[in-house]
Amino acid sequence: MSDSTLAWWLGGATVALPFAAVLPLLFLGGIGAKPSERATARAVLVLCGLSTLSAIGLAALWLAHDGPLVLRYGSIFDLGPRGHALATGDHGAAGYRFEVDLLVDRLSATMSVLSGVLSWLTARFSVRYLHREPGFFRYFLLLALFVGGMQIAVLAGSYDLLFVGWELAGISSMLLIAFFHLRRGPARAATRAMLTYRVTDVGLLVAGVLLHHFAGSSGFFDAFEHRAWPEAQTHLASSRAFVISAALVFAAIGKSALFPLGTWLPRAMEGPTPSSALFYGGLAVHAGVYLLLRSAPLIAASHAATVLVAFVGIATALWATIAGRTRSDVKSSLAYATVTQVGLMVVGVALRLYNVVLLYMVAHACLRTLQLLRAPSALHDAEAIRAALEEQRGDDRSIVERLVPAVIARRAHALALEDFHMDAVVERVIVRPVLALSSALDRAERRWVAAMTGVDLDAPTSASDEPELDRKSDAPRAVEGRS
Amino acid sequence: MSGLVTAVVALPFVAALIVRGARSESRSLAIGRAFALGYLALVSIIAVVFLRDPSLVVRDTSAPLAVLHARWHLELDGLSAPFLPLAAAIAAGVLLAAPRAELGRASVQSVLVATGCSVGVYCAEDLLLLASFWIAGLVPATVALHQAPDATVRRKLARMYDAYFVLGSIPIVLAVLVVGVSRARAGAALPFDLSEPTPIPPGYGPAVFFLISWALLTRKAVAPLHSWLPVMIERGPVGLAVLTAGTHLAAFLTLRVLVPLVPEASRQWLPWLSWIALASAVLQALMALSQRDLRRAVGFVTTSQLALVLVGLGASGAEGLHGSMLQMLSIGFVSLGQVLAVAWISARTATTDLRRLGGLAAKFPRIAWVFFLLGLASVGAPGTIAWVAEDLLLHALLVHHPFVAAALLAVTVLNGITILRVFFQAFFGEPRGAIDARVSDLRPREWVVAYAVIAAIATLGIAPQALIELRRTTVDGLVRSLTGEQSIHGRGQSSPGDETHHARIP
Repeated sequence: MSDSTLAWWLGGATVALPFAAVLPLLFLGGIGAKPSERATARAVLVLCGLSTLSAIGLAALWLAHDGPLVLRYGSIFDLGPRGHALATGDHGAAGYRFEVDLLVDRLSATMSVLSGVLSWLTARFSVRYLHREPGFFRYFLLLALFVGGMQIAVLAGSYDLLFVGWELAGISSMLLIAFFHLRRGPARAATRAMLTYRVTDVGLLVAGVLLHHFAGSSGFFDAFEHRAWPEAQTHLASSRAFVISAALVFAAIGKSALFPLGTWLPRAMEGPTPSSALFYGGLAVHAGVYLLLRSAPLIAASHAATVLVAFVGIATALWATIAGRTRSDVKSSLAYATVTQVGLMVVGVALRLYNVVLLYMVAHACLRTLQLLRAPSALHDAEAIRAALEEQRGDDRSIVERLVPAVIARRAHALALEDFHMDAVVERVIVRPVLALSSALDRAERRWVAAMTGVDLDAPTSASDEPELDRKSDAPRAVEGRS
Repeated sequence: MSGLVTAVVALPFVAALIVRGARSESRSLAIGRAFALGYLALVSIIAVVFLRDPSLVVRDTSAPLAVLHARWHLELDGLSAPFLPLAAAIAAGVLLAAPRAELGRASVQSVLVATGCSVGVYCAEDLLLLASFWIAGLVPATVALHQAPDATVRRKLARMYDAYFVLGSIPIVLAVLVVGVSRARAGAALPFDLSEPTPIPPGYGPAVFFLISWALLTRKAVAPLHSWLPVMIERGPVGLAVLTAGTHLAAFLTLRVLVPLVPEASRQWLPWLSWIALASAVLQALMALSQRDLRRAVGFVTTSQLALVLVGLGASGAEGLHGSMLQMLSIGFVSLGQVLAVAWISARTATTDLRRLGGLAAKFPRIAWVFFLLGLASVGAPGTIAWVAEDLLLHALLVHHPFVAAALLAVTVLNGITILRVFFQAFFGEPRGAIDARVSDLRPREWVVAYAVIAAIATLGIAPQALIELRRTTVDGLVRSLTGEQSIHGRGQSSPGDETHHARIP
């Protein structure tokens, strides 16, 4: 078997194996035949483990290979020929074709191995942590979905395919935030994350389409002059590069909880600790940084885009580090600390320190995952250390905190507790006006329907409006205790 | 193959007659279900035959009537073939999985008749015939609403439905008359026949376009002619609501009749139709956002998505047309699943009011999964057919019509937020009120339908190429009509900066 064939199989296995766990579990869950804890965990661990081994094998092949590997798996759909258009440079004429290509280079190979290893370790940790938890099956199903989504996102050879993985990771993330679904808090936090994802993911979609139109392909290798990361470059005009970069930054803001939409992340800690560790300490929170690193040629092609990235990074780091200091629970503190570091990584992208940022990201992902996995024991650990050292609690303020006047410190503390009113501003400027408009339109609609029919649509639906054959209804309608 | 298309159109009506004569309610339902499954199998086989040979055309014709010069002319081709399984699947899904309260003898009959009328519209190649099926297709809902007991909401809604019925039917009758008379005057042997080569005299084009547009805007529930459909989905008969929303007769009318019949007027005015549809989609997506009733929210989201189909048609490039056609299939399947899911919740909890729902996932995990997966399918999650459709629409619009593309994205985002918000509200959080222990989660026939719908959405989302190939010839012809150009294969042979391809929306 040649290296290229082996790489093709390993690439396919890395991406497909997690879904080989997802699909049967989804089916079994759907028909109400959930397997036991042991079978569920074993299926996910074995298949995600094999996926991780494939990722390691793929990375080894890439190391042995001179230059990036482009693995082609055909297309999902194809509207027409594009070879001629690309050959003649008539990019607008290129018929749209959704290609399933994987790109293995320094960035993707590193991220793929990191994703596989961290996910597998977290899954292994979760087997005991979530033992006898009612949502055990759901947790492992969503974890496998996340692993598959992350592998697609990091190995994708185009923005189109990256979007697929990006969305799948987002869906699993959202559902795991709401893991304890009987409580209102997790449901609200998941809604919040969902809103942010849903709005900002549009940026990635738009960027892919624009790159396809401007460069003739949304594939990284084609669009970035067939050069390996991080030496890849683009010859797009600065203005076009800025538009695409701005869309990508918008997408990264949502996924990596950057300024000004990052307040969903601390709330996302409502989910189980292992998933919080993997998603918001390890992988998902770094997906935005990965996206910016992958899009480095576009950002570098536009000064305005570089300034934008730097601004977002600096603002994120400042906001998160100040806000994080006012939090008293360990998971929130770690969440803000994570966002602070992610902000610094974004600044690194603007400074074109690509290899440094990649190394930084790998180290940070590993450290935070470990810290968050240990978070439930943090209090115990701290007490144990204090007891061992017989330490008395003294003034543990930082130098900056001691130097800042008390009035300013109090004001800053209040602002930090409120996340500098970022949520309030978004709510006042966007959410409330949109909801007010929605309610006004709905009221007008209800009045119009009432005028035509005499029906008050505001009245709750009652069973008596519907049944034709109540006596034969196959589901008893009795509902007790409803208000 | 003579008589095949006639048989395909006639079978649902025959089944409706048999159901009428059945000895009992349960027998009528059994007959309806058996027929719907058999019919779905039959039309699926036909669709597969067309997938293997997209250039195939099967037609049934009779001699023209002496005075009218109209004839029985039915035809199946690459455009209509995929719609038949959609209509049949909706009928089968409703008859198999709707709550029993929605499946009395009259309901089964009306679903079968509405299915037959939809198939009739897909296959009719004579305008008189097409208009007859179009109008007849509205009758079952009218009858169902009028037959509802006095003082119920459905009975009151009949008034509204009647008004829109008339509003949508008169223009199509007038359009058929204008086409017939004008072409007869121009010397056409078969003035009502869509295959008649005699064009409509130039002066009549705008009138025909306006009249047909009025009819299709009403049928597509585009604002300000939209109010009937969300209410129909919210409070109307489940089966007829899904059939009305999911069969896309209005979009089909645009593709089959409007563009080929009046290409000049379509070139000029179709973009304006798209603008109206876009405004409607935004409006309805906004209205959906603040709904407090699960069913009403689904109604507005569905209506909003329906309008997006017209937006894609107005883009007129191959990507837009392919995207719109895939969007039609997506809406058909998703609306079937979502409306059924809401009906299941309603049947089990006696309400769809979000203020009284919460924590349903604990009691009905399978319904929760189904609703969530359908929600993802409706908002274009990867791996679903809506994802392919929205991707194509975006490619058709983004560069040359950034404002339209932005509005389209806003609609998909708003609809996504609405669907996921109502999901979290209804299924997550603390359970409100105790549900009787005897009330079960999805029953086998319900989950079979639910997962069949999800499987169809996923299969078409992962492998949409066969559908694209099936419609390539039709799309090629439509693009040619709308741009006045020769030989367009996808967008592959169009010139790169060619504004005629993309400048359809002003």
